[in-house]
Amino acid sequence: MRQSNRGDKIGDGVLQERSEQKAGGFTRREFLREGVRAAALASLLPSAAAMLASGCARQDTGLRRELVQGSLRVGLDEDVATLDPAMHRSRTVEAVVRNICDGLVARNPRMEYVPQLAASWSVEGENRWVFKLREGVRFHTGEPFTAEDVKFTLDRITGDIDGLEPSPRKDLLGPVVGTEVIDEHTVAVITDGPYPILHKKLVFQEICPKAYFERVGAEEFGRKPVGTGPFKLVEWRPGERIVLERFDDYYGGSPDIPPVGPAELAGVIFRPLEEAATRLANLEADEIEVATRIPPDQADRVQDLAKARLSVAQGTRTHFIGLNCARKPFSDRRVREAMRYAADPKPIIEQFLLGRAQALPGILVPMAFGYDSSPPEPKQDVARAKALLKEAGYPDGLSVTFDCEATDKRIAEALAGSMQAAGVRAEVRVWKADNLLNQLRRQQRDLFLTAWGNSSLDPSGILPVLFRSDGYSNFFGFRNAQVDRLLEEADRSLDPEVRRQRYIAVQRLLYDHIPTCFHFAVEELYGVSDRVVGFDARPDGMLPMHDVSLRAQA
Amino acid sequence: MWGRFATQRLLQLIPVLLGVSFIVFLTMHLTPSDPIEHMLGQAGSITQEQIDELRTHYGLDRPLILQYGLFVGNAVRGNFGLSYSHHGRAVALVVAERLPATLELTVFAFLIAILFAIPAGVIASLRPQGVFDRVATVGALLGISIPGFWLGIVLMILFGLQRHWLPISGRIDLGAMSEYYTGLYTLDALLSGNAAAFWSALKHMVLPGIAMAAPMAAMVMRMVRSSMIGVLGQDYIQFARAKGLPETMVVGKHALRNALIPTLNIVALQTGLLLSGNMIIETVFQYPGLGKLAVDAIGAADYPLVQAVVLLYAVSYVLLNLGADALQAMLDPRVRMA
Repeated sequence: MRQSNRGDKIGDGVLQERSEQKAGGFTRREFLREGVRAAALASLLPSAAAMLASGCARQDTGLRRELVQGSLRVGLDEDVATLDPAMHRSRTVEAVVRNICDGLVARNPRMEYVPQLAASWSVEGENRWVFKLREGVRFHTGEPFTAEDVKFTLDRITGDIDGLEPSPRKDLLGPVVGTEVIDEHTVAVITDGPYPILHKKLVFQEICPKAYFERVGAEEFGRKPVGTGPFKLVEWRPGERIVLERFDDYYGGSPDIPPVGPAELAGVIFRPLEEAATRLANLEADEIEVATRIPPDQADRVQDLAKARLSVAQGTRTHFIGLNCARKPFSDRRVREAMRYAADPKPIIEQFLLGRAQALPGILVPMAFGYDSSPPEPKQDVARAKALLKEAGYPDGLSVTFDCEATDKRIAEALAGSMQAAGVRAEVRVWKADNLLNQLRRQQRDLFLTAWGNSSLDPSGILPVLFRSDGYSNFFGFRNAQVDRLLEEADRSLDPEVRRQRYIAVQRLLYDHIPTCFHFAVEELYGVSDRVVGFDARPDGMLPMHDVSLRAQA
Repeated sequence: MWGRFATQRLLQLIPVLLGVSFIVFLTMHLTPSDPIEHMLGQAGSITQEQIDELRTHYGLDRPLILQYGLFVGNAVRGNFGLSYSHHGRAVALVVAERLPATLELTVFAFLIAILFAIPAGVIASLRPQGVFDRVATVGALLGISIPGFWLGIVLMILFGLQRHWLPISGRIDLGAMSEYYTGLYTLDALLSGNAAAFWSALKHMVLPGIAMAAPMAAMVMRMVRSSMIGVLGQDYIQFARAKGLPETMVVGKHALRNALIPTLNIVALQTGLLLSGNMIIETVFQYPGLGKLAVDAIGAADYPLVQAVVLLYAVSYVLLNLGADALQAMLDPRVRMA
């Protein structure tokens, strides 16, 4: 306020008109004029600087233009908070990072496990896995990939390196207790007891370069990760875009997923577009070529687009109604059975999910290892539900609260409506997802609609978690010694056939005891431009772009 | 006197900020959200030890009062802690990354609103109940009552999809610019002498800018109109006309300047509302600014990040009002002398 003294001089408050006229020193008009001049000057400064700067500023290189034009653009349904392979619990981060960093093991489009950075592996004794690593592989920095990097990556996840933030992916690795470098291209992983599915768990971990990480530190690594993958990170502007460029020295990727060699695309650009409508609009406006995770009710919009198609994959996430077996009224098995027959899956899947889901007899999806197809198709049977309720002492039906998270509200309401015919009066109560989860883990809810993902497609990723007596996410107060024993046996057996049988037995027991009912898996729907060749939605939600190419713009 | 005025108002910031931060802190901790559960997501077989480990890492195992005390103590030293949903990055960094986008869009929307509202208000006031006035009144009513997200979507459909005139999301065309100095893209484009990038950044702001500016333009327009009508009926206007000044002088100088004084407060208030409006608009247009960051942070129960953003909003709101008051005092001696 530079004119504090003058301010007192001008205008004595009689008439504003006065100040318009020259009154000695500094009139209001002059002040305004001066102010405008000063502002104009101030705004000119940067442009003056610009003139100076433009002389020496580097213009965009030709490479960048080529990169932009030759890149595939993907609209993501979620923003990413980090690109550090070890520091997230997000499928979206994993899908992006998987293009930058390869893992020891990968899955092909049919969800079969194939070696990627590992050339082969064998199990010595019960709990020692020896991985032979691929040779001649280089990180984007040019440094060679060695056993030290594998050890570093896994030790960081298990928490064996002091001074780093604990990794939220620790449990995804299974009971790994140690790693050992045998030579430059051989590494051993030791598990706590036999752990037959370690290789399946390794698809969730990408290998990070030890030397680079130690050079730049954890924070910088999360912003600028380096890997051995088909693309290297060029630019990440948070909330805006992640730009990847083809890594020309790529070793070629897993020989089991042809073609082998550097990627075809010049690059991949990921853009967070969380609103489904915005994603679709961008697909329509040719601003992106792939729109991930289209909600079922908007699938038709994609099909109506002239230049795009809908790509569909089986989902790995099962929605279900959970019942609290430890509390009234669902502690009575007859009441739980009544619930199985109370609702009609058909109209709900047809009308609310537009047929984009599959009703299932149990919690496993048909693709999963050890899936039991013997239980009958779920069907509504009002008479039977009523009879069961009457037998259990509820001749007039049952009133309960039906909890769900916000995204499932419409389905829960439809389910509640469908149950009315059988005499179940369910009042829907909606929660924020993490609030509900919290209460479910404490077994505080009686009847609820929720979902559980199992992208490993191995029952060990879902059955023990939900149904073991001490399962951390046993929402149902479900205690069954037989189930516990069978799950333990399956967990510890190295023989796939033994495991399969144990899991089938568990599924039968679950069908008999009914801690859950009304299971369905929603399909994964992607909008894909017709220019894109070689990309399809995958059940695991990954977006591997190594084998994808783009047709020239029509 | 100016010094005392400013100091006094700036000191008032302290209780405001303490109050705001305490209310936000309390409400966020009263909701049964759990940032660690959110961080870990649902899938997988997370163990209790793993959860406890992270809880300790972020200091969430301490008593609430201690957590608040530590927050205030650190905030005073400019340290807003670590963001839970950004995997332990410093909150200040995360906010600083998004601030320029919001700043740029807000200034742009502000300019749209002012440049539209003031002339429209003046013209409407010249012939009250005339055709222009009636059209403007209906327009203003729509501007105030149409929700921003709806207007945003309609604009997207009309100008982005049916006619490919304007981009519907993002801040700049891919590859248009490779050098960033300030994070304000239009300014960066000027700094690197890149006309194409400047144009691209500007185009990206048009639709969200209009959607954001609409309610403010409507309010300001109504205010300009009514205070102009008031001023035009004053004796000194009649006097100015009587002494033979051309009508443009009468309206543009004598009337408008005086009419603008009461408008200033509305402008300041509405600019504050622009800031809150950007939460919705940025989400609709996927514009990577502070508003979208705040919405995401609330969803993730990211206490430190929400705190920091809310405090930033509170500070800007108070400063805007302070600025308006100062400007008003500068323009209107009666306010200053009072």
